[in-house]
Amino acid sequence: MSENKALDGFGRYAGPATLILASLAGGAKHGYALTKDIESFAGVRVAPGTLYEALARLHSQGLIEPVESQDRRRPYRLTAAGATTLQAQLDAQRRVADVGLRRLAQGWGPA
Amino acid sequence: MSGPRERAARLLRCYPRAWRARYGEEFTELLIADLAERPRSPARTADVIRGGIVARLAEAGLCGFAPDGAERAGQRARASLASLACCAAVFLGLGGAIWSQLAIGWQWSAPDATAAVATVVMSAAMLLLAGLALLAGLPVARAVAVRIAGGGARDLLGPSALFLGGLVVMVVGGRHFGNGWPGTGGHPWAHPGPAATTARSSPRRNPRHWASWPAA
Repeated sequence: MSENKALDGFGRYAGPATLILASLAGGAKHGYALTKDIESFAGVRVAPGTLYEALARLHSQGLIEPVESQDRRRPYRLTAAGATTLQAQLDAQRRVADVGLRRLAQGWGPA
Repeated sequence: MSGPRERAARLLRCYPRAWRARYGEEFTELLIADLAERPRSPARTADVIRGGIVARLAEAGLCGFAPDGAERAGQRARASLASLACCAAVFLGLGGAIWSQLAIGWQWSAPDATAAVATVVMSAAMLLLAGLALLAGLPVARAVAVRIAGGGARDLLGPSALFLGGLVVMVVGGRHFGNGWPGTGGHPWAHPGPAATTARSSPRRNPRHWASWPAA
């Protein structure tokens, strides 16, 4: 799969954006549910301001979209473009992880 | 301690109006849930304040990111130009203050040739920039005046009043400074206003008055 550069312009929000996309891959969630889910699988607590800055950027890029709801806590869901971007982002991170772990095993002992 | 909803509402005010209209309701719910879980968190407060500042800078066109995409790209570009103009105006104002310091110094001693040339060149540049600013500003002023007279631009009243007030302060303040310089009677080009004349005639401004004070 060709490398997707969609998150390149996110700067310091690329990390939170990836976490949000990964969380939404499991289903639509509102802000607090996103925070708790990310904390459970990544061990990271994304603060409200950072979360919404990343959400706004993801929404503007068409990677997520709000779900019509009567709930004041508006949920968001992943779009097709968001799924593609997430796949590319995680593939790139996996390559880095694989290289790092292999080199550690070769030079520093078993991983 | 006030309730979570009141605290969330206070934090939400860090963000600009347009952002609050778009995300305010859901962001408030997030803050309320977070406050219920963690009543005290300086890191959260700092994060919200930082996010609000970033959103306000983006609103003023000072950040590259436009959260609303192409819809407001033109508006952000205009905001960027306006912010650039304001910064340039402040910079030129400071330059003008430095120039005036140099020009006033001519009252006491004739400058050497180099300083004289530099001051004359600066004066010519100041006149040219002032002329260009006037040419650029007149169409804007006319457009603003027409819109205000038409009754459809109430949001321009505040900035217009601020601009005119600043202009008055600059003119009066410049003349006051020129006339209030101790012992000189003011710059020969500056025409003393009635307030400055009264202040100058005050015994407290008379050097002989100070000379009569007993030594400390």
